Amino acid sequence: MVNKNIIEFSGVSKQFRERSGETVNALQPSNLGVHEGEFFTLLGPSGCGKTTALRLMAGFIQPTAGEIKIEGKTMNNVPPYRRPVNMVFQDYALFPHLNVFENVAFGLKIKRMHKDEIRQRVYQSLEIVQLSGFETRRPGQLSGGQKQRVALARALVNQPAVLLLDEPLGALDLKLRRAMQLELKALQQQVGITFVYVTHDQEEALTMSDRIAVMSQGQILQVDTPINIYERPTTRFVADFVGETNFLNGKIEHIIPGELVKVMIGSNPVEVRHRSNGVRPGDQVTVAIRPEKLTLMPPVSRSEKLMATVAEVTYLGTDTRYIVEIPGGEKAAVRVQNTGINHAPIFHVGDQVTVSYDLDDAQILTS
Amino acid sequence: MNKPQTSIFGSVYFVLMAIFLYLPIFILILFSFNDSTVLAFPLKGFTLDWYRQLGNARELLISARNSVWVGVLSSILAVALGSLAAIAMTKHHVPARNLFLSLASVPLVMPSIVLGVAMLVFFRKVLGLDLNMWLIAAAHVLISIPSTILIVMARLADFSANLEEAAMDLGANYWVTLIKVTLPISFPALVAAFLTAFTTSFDEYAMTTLITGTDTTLPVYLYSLLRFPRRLPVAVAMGSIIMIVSALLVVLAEWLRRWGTARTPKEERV
Repeated sequence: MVNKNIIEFSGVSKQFRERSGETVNALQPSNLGVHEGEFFTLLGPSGCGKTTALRLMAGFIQPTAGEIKIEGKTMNNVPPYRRPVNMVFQDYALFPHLNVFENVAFGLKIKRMHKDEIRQRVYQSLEIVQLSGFETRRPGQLSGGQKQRVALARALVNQPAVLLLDEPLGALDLKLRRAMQLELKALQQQVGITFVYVTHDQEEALTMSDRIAVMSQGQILQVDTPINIYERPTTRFVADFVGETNFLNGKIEHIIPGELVKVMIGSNPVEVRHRSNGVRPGDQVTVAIRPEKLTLMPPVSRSEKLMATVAEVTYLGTDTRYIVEIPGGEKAAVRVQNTGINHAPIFHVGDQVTVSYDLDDAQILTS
Repeated sequence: MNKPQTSIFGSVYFVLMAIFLYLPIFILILFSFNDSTVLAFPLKGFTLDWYRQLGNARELLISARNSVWVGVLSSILAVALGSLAAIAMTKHHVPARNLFLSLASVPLVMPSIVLGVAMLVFFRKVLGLDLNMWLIAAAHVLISIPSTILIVMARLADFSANLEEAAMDLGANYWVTLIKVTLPISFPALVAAFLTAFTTSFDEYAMTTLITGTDTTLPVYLYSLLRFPRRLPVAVAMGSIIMIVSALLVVLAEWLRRWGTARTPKEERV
C-alpha cells in the first residue's frame, strides 16, 4: 500500500457497563486505518460509536479488546498525556481562568519549552487561526467562533501527529459552520497534519473529508472516499444516511456476468450494471438509486423501461420533486432540475411516465 | 417590558421584616456606646469607654486570639479534607458514595450539644487526653467539614469534565491537571468554603463550652462574662465588633462565589 497508516485499529472493541449491570457494545470489534496526512471523518448518527472511537484514539478510554497503534507504536494503556495526538472538544473546553495566550501556551509550558519559543509558537498558531491581537482576552469574552479558533490553536501549537476533532462545529450557527468547514479543510491542507473528524452531519463529511468511515450501532459499515460513499454505498444504511435514496425491492431474474443484472421490481424488469457482490439469480435484493439520477419522460411505446404514474408533485424552486408509483406498489422519488425548458413542473398528478436512468447509477444492495 | 408593581403591602412587609431582623442588632450596637452598665432605656449618654476597656480586658483578648487561632487552623484543615473528599466524590468512582456523603453530613443535623458530649467522652475517657486548644480545633473541623464538602462539590460539578480531559490531552498528568486546572478554577469556592468554616468555628458555643479546658474561645468567654453585670457592656462592645466583621466576611464570601460563577459563562458548560 502506498498510504502509510498513522492510526491503526486491529480488532478494537469497547464495552461499557451500565448501572443496571448490562453491558453495551459501544464499538464492535473493528479494523481501521487512518492514512498519514488525510482528512478522515467518522460519520454516523448519535450513539453509533464514533465518539467512542475518537476517545479511544485520544486515550480517555481504553479498549476492551484489540490493539490501537499510533505512528506504529502500541497505544494500549498509554495515558492521554503521553500520546502524540491532540483534541478539539465539542464544547471547546477552554480554561476559563486563563487568557487566550495562556490557553494556547498550556501544552508547551508543560513540556517546559523555553519562554521565547513558547511566545513565538503561540503567536504563530494564533496567526494561523486569524486571532492575532486576542492574546489577553478571556474565553468568556469570545464568541463561539472565536473560541473554536482558540481551541484549534491550542491543539495545533503542539504539532501533534494527529488532530482529533469531536463535532467541533456543532455549536455554531449554520452560516458560520459553512464558513468554518471550508476554513478547516484549508487549514488541514496548510499544516499537513492528519485530521480525524467526528460528525453526524453527512453534508459536512462529504464537503471536508478525504475519506469517510460511516458507522452505525458500534460498527464501521464502509470506509471510502466521499464520492464512493455517495455513489457506491455498499449497505442500505449508508445509502439511506448519506443523502436521499430510493430503495426498490425485487428479485434477481438473470445475470450477464460483468454486464448487467436483471431485477424484477413488481412486474417491471429493471437493469443494473453487474458488479461482483456475490448475488445469484433468485436472490431477494434491493435496488438503490438516488432521486436526482432518475429522469422522467412521456410514455414510449416500446419500453423495457420502468413505467410509472405520477403520485405527487412538489415545486422546490431550483428543482421539482416527483413521487411516482410503480405498478406493484413501490414508490420512488425523482428530482428534476428546473432548467431551460423545464422551468416549471411538466408532469402532473395522474400522468403516465417512463422512468429512466443510467445503468451505472443504480446499485444492488443485499443487506 | 412590564416592571413588576411594588405594592404598598409588599413595601410595608419588607420594612417590618427588616426591623424585626436588624433592630436587636442595632440596639446592641447602640448600647455599646451607652454610658451605663445597665442595658436599658433611657440611654444615659455617649461614651467610647467600653471600647477603651476592651484594650485592657486581657482575658477577653486572649480568648479572641484563641478563637481566631482555632478558626484559622480548623478552617484550613476542613477545606483541605473537604476538598479532597469533594474531588473523590465528583471525579472518581467511590463505592458507597451516598452513604459516605450522608455520614459526612451528620454534623449538620446533629445538635451540637450532643456532639459536644460525645467529643468530651471520646477525648477524656476513650483517648484519655487533657482538653486543649488542639482538640477544640479538631472538633471544629468535624462540624465545618459538611459545608466545605458541599461548597467545593457544587463548584466541581459545575465545570465540564472536558476541561480536565483537555489538560491531560495537552500533556498534563493527574497531579499537574489538579494543580493547574481543577484547583485554580475551584479557587473562589475554596475561599468561600474557608470563610464559611471560619464563621462556623468562630460562632460555635454549645459544643465548645463542653470541651473547653483552661483556654477558652471568645463565645465561651463572653457567655461567662454574663455573670459579672458590670463587665457586660464590654462584652456588648466586643459583640458589636464581631458582628460587623462577620457581616463583612459573609459579604466577601458571597462576592467571591459570584465572581467564580461569573468566570464560567453558561454557554461554555453546554
